[in-house]
Amino acid sequence: MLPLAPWLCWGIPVIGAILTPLLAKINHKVRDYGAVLFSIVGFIFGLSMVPDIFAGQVVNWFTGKVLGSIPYESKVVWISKLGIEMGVLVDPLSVFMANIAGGLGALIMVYALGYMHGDPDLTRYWFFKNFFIGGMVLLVISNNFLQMFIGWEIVGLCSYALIGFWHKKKEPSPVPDYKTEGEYNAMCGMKAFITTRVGDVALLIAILTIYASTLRTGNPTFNFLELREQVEWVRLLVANGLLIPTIILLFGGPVGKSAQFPLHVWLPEAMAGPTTVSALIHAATMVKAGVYLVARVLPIFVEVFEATNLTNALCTFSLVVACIGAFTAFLAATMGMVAREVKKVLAYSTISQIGYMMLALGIGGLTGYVAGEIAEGYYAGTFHLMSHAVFKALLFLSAGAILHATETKDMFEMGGLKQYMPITYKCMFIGALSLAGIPPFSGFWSKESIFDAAWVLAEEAYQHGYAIIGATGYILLFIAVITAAMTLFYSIRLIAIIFIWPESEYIKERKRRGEHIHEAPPVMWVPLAVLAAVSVIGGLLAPAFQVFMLKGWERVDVHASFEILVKTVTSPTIFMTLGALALGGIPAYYFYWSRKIDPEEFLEKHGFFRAVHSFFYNRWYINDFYMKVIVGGFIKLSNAVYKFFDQAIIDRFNYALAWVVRSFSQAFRKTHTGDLNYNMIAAMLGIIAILLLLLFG
Amino acid sequence: MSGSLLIMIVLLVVGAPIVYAVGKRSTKAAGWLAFTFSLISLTIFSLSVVPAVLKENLYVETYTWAEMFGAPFLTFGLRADNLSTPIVGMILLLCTLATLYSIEYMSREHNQELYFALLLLYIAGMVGVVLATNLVQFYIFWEIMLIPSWLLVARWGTSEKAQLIAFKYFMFTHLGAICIILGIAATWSLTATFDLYATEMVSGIAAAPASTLKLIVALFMLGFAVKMALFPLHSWLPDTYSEAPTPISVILSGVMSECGVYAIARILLTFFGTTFVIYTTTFMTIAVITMIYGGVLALAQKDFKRMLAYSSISQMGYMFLGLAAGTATGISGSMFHIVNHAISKGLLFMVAGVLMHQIDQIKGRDMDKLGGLAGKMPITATITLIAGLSMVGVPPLSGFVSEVLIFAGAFIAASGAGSWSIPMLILAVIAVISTVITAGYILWMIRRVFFGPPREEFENVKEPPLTMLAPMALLAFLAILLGFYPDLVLRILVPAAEEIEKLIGG
Repeated sequence: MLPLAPWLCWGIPVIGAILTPLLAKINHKVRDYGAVLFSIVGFIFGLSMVPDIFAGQVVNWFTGKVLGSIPYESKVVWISKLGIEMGVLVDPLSVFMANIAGGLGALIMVYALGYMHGDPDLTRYWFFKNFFIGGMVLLVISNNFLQMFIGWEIVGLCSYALIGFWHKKKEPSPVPDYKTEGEYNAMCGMKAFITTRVGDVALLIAILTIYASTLRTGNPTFNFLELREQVEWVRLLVANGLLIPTIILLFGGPVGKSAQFPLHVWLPEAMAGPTTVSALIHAATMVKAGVYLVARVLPIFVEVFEATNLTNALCTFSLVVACIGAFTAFLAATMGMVAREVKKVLAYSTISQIGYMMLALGIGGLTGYVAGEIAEGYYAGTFHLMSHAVFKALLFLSAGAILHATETKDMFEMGGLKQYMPITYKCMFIGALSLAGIPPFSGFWSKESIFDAAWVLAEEAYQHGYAIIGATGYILLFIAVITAAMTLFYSIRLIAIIFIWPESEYIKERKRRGEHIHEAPPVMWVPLAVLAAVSVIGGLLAPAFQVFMLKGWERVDVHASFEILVKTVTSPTIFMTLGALALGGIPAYYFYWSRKIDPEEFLEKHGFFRAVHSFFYNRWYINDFYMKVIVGGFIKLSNAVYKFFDQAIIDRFNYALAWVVRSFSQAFRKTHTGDLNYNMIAAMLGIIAILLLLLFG
Repeated sequence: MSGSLLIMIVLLVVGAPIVYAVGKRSTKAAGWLAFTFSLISLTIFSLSVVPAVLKENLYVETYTWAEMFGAPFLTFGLRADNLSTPIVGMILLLCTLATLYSIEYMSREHNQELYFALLLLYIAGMVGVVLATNLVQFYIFWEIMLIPSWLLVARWGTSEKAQLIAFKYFMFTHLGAICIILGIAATWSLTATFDLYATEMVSGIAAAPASTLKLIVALFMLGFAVKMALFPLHSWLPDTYSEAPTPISVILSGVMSECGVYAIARILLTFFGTTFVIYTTTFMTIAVITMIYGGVLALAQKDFKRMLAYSSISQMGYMFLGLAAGTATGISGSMFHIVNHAISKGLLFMVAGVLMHQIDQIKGRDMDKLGGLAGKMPITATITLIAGLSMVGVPPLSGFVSEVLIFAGAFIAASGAGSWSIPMLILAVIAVISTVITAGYILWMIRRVFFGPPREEFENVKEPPLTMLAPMALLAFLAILLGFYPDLVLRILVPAAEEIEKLIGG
């Protein structure tokens, strides 16, 4: 690697962010190109670590010195007296994630040069964008929980700032509760921040519980590798019955950040940000942080739970992860089928696909429980993460090009764009096919490997006598396959409505006004083409990817061969996949592509489907429930406490006390008449009383 | 330089009449002169005392106050050590900046010379409390801290009820002070000395019966709890903070209430630690209730400054939680949080002042009537975001570090030696959860004030003048600096906290 690469791959974007306001003082061009340059240089440093992983040892390219083998750590002291360190960890997972974040980050920065051109607040944009890339890479390359949490919060902050980036927009709000679009955007950012914060809190609780346990067992640490080595902390936790709550709370962080049920509600609103932000943060990278964290802790759990004979905990954890993943995949897909805005469809699809990744990791953990090996699910989950990052970024950037050209978000106001934007059409089509899991695009291979992992889990479970887990495996597989059918349905719907349908009134109106729709400029479509190309050939990367991800795993022996691809297509699940594609594809074709059946009329006729449609469209009413009951209830509660407790009881009590004292003194004052006779009598009585006391006391 | 600390305090005390006299002739000069005095104190402290503390961990000055039978009967000393140095530094810095900020903010008020003179006395009181080595001296400065601030609230308070509110503030705090002096008297009865660092102090307390010690802890605790406005002794605070002139709110909330936190660490934990920890669970409960109560009520406020006042109550809960936990991590977290809260809450009050000064004294603090100001005041908006997020505990801002340390301290306390205490664990968990409330009211405030549709009536609103903006920018910079490099303060604080932990025997 290049010298100091694990530090500089996030340090350079952060420095770039800090320099942005200064570069802006020179001129706009320097600022824009400078910001992009910093992200690219950061990515180059990240990329330089890839050969080290393949080689299994970290080498400084300049001096030729071997620094150590994988996993390689580099640390500095942060809070000296408490022994808290900052450090970076070079291992397959961290380098993989760092390159996803850095690479897509750099690509999307280039795209933003065109997409955001001329925005008056670009300084703020570049600042948060580079800061985000730095924070994201910091998150994945940290060697300890605390520093990872810092990155975790930084990306949350940038997400908040960038969702509400257009807070000054004066157009009317898309939602009636707010006056302008800007106000709506600011609300969306806040919603994202608070919702993910709920998950973050759970994560922080888990981290601190683990830290306190390690402190009590002799060696306080946040470090991943050390947590894996020393197992005493697990014994302490389990002795107090805290192990399961702790690891479930740990999963709370990923649930919030990766928008899993029940904290998935923020992601659709996050689409209020610029499309480049949605593509990078809310599709390709930040929302994967949760998947990363689960992938990070899963091998640790496997090892320490085996060493302490607590594999039941592994089973519980994996089961929770898998079930939440599967349910979220299904839930979001149902919403994706009926959404009206292009970016909302993509947002639901992102939630759904992340559900797949969680499912895969959970399956990996369960397989680890029944058969002692998590590699299959682990590989499937991370591979799907990669292919999804690419095709979802592609879909978002295509959507960005369309939004840019048509200036509307509603896909029913588009139509017929195929002839105006042929390059975008082709790229987005490839992205949609990949998303739907159509062979030979990358999404097919990754999704298929998840199904295969689920199948293997069920088989293994029955073989080893775990009937319940086996049955669970089949149920999870079934949900995953049904979701795949829905995925194809909404993918076809998306492409057909935007590109194939006849031009909408809105487009015609624009044309009448002389605003013709043009293809995006090269600075925007070149990144699209790059991503489309990767989506097409992505499947071929599988063998190399498997070698890369499982490097250094003691129990698995992987060779770079295309066996893995053969294994994927010959898995028994392939028939289920084909069935699912038919199940989703055929109705979608008739409804949207050939338009033999009009979807509106169909809904008119069938009351049942109309009810289901409305249920899905209202997001299962989960969002309303949260807003009205939890948020609204809490604000009402706080007002009530203020009015009826703080002001009416505590404060009034104080004033009442003051009143009592004053009344008492007023009353007592009456005895002090100032009349000399009374005074003298009182004095005499006092003297007599004292004398009596002295005599007889 | 020997005598630096004394010179520093004398400068502030003597400065007060000078400022008053000069201010009588030229109102403008009063503010700048007061600023110069506090700046000189800050300079003396940072150039002469801080290096000594960094080198030898201690810098003490002792003076004989009264002699009796040829031997010193009352000594009075000023002691800068690992615990007090960062706090004094923060007090001086924040007060200096608040003085600078006052020059423009108070420019439309009458009797400015008196205002600035009282301000200097007020600063001297706080510095004296933190540096005191002697309980009588501690008490005297504790009251010096009260009187000027009471006058400042009563005379320049913003609402018509200012006098009533100032009276309430005085009565509450003074009631606390009575508890403190009773505690001091009880301590004297055990040890026959007021000097905290005399050997009799430790031996006397060690030999004392447990019931007396419990009484003393209760008395001191009551006194400090009033200052910190812990639930349910908080009701003076929202009124006082929100109606005090804004630079005074900055100081009240940023450093004065924190003197209570500091005093718990300095007196209760250090000398009565073994008795204090008997009540760990009770104190943690009070801390958590205060955190949540303040936060929930902050959500209900429409008035910017009142919201900040309730938020201060909540933040006091954070600091008390770290102390109640009684672990080195928690104590250093609390002490560091004093610094961070001074920065973030000081900044937010300054922002409130900017809004009131640039827009309107009444309208400028009603969050329902504000909105869309980010476009008009981008620098103020950025600073608000930094301060707010630091308080929410978002890295890489400094508030994150101290909050994590406080929570870690609570978890470590809950983990006990070998077995977890479930009630304490639940308290710690609730404490962490309550940060969501903080995030809620801060972000909601930012949204209501700075985002949303710009209003026509704010067409001509501008950034404040440099004398108001510069102090804010400096504090915001500090929030970022300490976030990246907390060791700057923590390497001094942690050894002090560890020493206290050792005394408690935790």
